[in-house]
Amino acid sequence: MFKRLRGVFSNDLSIDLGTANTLIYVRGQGIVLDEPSVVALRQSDPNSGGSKTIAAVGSEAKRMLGRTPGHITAIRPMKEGVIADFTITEKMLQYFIHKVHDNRAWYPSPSPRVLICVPCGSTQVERRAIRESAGGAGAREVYLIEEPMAAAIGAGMPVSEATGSMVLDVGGGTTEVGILSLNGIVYSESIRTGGDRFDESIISYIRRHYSTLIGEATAERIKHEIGSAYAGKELLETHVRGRNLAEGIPRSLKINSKEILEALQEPLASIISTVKSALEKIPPELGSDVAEKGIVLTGGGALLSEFDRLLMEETGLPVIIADDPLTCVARGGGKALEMIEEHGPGVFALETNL
Amino acid sequence: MTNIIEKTDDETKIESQSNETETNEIETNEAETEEIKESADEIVSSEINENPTVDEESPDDKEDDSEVIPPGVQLQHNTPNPSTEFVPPGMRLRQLREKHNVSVKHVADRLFLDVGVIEKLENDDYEHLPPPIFVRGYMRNYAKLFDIKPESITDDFDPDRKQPKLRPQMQRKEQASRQDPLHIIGTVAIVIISLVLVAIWYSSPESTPSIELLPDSQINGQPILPPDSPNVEEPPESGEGTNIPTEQPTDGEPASGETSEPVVETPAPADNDKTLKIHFKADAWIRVTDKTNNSLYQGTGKKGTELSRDGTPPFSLRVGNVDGVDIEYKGETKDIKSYPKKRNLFIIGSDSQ
Repeated sequence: MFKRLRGVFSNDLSIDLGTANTLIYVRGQGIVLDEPSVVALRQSDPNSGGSKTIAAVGSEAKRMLGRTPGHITAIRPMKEGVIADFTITEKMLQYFIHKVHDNRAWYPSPSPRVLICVPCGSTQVERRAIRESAGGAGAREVYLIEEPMAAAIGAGMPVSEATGSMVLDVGGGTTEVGILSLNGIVYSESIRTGGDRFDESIISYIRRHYSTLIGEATAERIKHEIGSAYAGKELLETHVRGRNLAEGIPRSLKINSKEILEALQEPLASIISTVKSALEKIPPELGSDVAEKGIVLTGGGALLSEFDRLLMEETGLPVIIADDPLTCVARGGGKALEMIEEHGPGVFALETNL
Repeated sequence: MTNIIEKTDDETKIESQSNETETNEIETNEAETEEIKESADEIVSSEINENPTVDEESPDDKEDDSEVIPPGVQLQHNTPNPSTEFVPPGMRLRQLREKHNVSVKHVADRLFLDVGVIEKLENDDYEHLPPPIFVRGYMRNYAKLFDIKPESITDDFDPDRKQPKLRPQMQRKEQASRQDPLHIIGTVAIVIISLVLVAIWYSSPESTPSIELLPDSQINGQPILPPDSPNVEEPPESGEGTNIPTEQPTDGEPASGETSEPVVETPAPADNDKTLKIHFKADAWIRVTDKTNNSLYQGTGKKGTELSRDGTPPFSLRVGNVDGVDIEYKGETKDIKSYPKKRNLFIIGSDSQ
């Protein structure tokens, strides 16, 4: 009863708790927060293992990644789409939710209704962890929605209709493929390959071929600048600085897009095979719907240049990139919330509070 | 926009000028398309296979050119007012394609779409295409094929970005639950009604059957109703017998039994009526109260003594030793047990003896 009362003044939130970025969509306001899922912790007394306090969250903390002094640790509490560090995730969520609500502070601690997107492959334990994290962060009611569903809704696919829609969401930690029809998921598959895996592949490639060690942030920069999933028209080059393993001294080297393409082969291949096996397993009627309209690409991976071309060539189906692929999931969650508001939580077969 | 205008200029030139220049144009266009295709297909393993198709397509393109004239004509219509003209995105894509001398088939192959879809796209026939998100995606891919900014095309399409409507699967019949407003209203109503009833119950007179109230009810209502009320006066009233009329004037010709109850009581019994004498045949505890609940006496009377009290009848007596008390009232002496008894109280002076 009291919870409900507190909720009157609060906005409903849709949270895309991603490995790389956390986005919060507020009903009626749109995306209000888009920050990296990174938390920096400061240890008050490193010698005696004193208490830890939060030094920074979000983009500020991300800049610290790999550049911290001894008493600060910057960590990413989400790994491969699920919670790796429960407490830190809770603190991070708390910080974000508070930040969203901070602008309008005339009433005390509101407790919003929260919808969180989870990877479709996540286990009960992982879902429970996310649910409890959100509960601990002050949510009144927690709904969980599977990411392909949210992504498809956010992209504007006709999920309510009796026609198959296929969505491929390449996130930071996971890649989700889902075929949806009639507000439900017909088939979904989640693999733990995503943007992070691309970065790792680039790091190991450069280490192998140039005996040079680069950091994650650098790898990400290379991926953004010259990363490509399909041999493009022109050859892009960029300079990278890393520590030469033989000399132990930072050296600069030149990398081109063809090399990066080679580095990305393995994660890309696993994504392709997931898509292919999904197409194999769905009922033929839905398959024909997908072949007619095409596969929709969302998530940060969609920004990898020529990724759609690669998928088209590999599957022989039309592939299109959603508008604003990075925010699809959060926006879809927001729309799902609106639906819940209107028709009750039964609409999407969501998981609600236990 | 400027592109298009230039282009239209080009086309008008082509149409107006000699064949020589036209062939030159086509040659240059072909060279461009070759470049694009080659760059795009660079790594495709089937490049060798595709090259002949490109060659095959060039005649197709020429055929297309002949078909193209209608839009060209349209364009000429449009050119007079270039400031206000709006070229739908599909038409611009077609112009783009024609500029590069590429066939519909080739575009369809590159985008892995049906030729029909591409044609609908170019004719801006969105009714028969999938939802907007797909159309926008096709346009984006189409534009990318020719290395132009996708936004320049997609921005003109569906500017309000309307999305397919989400709706629940069916109008679900809600299962009855505690949360139903109807149920809540019903419950609240029942609770309120029962509360009101309880309130009425408590505020109403506590003991309806008590004697004191009877006169009240008699005052308010018809004299016939209370059967226990002083029947002494009533039978005469209702009966209108022959003996009593003499008495009636004394009753004050009451409009009637309503206001005059005490009046009726007092005159008839006179002084005699007001005095109660108690003879104790044995020791007995006794309490005497009169009509107004005034305690007249309370205590133990000794054997053989006599007690006399004045008060307003009817008198109520509570007696410890019933066998030891005689009552003298209106000049008559009787055993107390001969008087009517109510809840352990003997009532004297209310009823006819």
